Amino acid sequence: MEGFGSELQRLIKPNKVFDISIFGFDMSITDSVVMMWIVMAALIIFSLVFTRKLKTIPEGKQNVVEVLVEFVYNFAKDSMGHNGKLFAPYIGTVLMFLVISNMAAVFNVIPSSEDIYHWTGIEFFKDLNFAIRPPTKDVNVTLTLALMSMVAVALAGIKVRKVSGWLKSFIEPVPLMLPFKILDYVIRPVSLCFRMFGNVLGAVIIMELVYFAFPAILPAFLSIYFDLFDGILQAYVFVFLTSIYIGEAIE
Amino acid sequence: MISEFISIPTFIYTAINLVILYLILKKLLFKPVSEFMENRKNSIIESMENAEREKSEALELKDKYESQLKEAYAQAQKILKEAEEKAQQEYEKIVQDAKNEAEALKIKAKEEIELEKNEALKEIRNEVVSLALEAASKVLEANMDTEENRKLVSKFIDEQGVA
Repeated sequence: MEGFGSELQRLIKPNKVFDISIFGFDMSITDSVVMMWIVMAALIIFSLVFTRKLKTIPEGKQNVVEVLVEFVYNFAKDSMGHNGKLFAPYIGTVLMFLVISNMAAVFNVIPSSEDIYHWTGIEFFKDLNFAIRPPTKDVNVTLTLALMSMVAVALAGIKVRKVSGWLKSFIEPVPLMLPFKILDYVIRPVSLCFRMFGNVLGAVIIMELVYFAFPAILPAFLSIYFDLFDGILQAYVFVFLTSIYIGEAIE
Repeated sequence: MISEFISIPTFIYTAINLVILYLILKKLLFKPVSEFMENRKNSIIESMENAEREKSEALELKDKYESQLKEAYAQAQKILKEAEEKAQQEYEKIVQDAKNEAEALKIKAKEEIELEKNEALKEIRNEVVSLALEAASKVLEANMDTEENRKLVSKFIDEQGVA
């Protein structure tokens, strides 16, 4: 169990992959950031490949992007009304990022840097501390995402109601509401962030346990639920709530 | 303890990454595809509107041509009828004329026949008078053929109503 304990520790804590310091500040790149880069690269390659040579009559891969983009725009329109179109790219970006990120655990068969070091003995992998894990299991990532969503909500409110109107919305309908409205702005990102973080980390830990106990067959079925279904569901919930908050702000 | 789990660099990198990803995906994926789809939608709407308009125009033209055709048919019918009536009138007139002419010819012929007959009768009568007088002369052995006797015999014949 000793090995499993340290494994759990490694799962929960941010692991430094590259040590970097800028102006004396520690700006080390963690495994979550590297995972984000991988997800970003995947999404950018996807966009590049799938949007090439758009034809009037869609065929093959063009159908995929059309369905995706149409889904995002309809989703934005449904939850945010007519102005939702403006926020559709943001919503779509977050949705795609979260879906791919949450599903990343499916690829945990890819050996971690530690395993590679054990097998090959190459020094480079010794302290790399990197394994394919969802970046969203890192509370820092989900918190950033949630805060950015709240920034988007605030920007949406300012854009539609102007600064004065947006500030006024804090004391409407009565000034007594001010503390609650401020609480609202704080609680929303926190709840968004911890819902995502808890679900993904929980799924990762459970899958880790299952792999530990039953290395074959059973993890495959559980992975469908914990990695795919739960991942997509949590991504959807996150995006759905974000869009509802934005919708409220621009109403 | 909590500080073990918090990583400010991750926070900053995530924010930067997300903004970059947003900008890239917006430029590469969402904007071109949604604009493309919007354009296609508009062009489909436009072409459908065009088709609708052309269809209604065609229907209008069809109605117009149909009514024109009907008018032309009616006109033709009218002309035909008029021509028939005219022909009938002409025919009747010609027949009437022919009849009249025939009648006139008939009358003229009758008159001529009458004239001829009268002439012939006159001749015959004269012959009869001459014969009668000659016969009488032979019987009486004297010339009876005088103006006086000729008148006498003629009168006799007229009284007998031979003519």
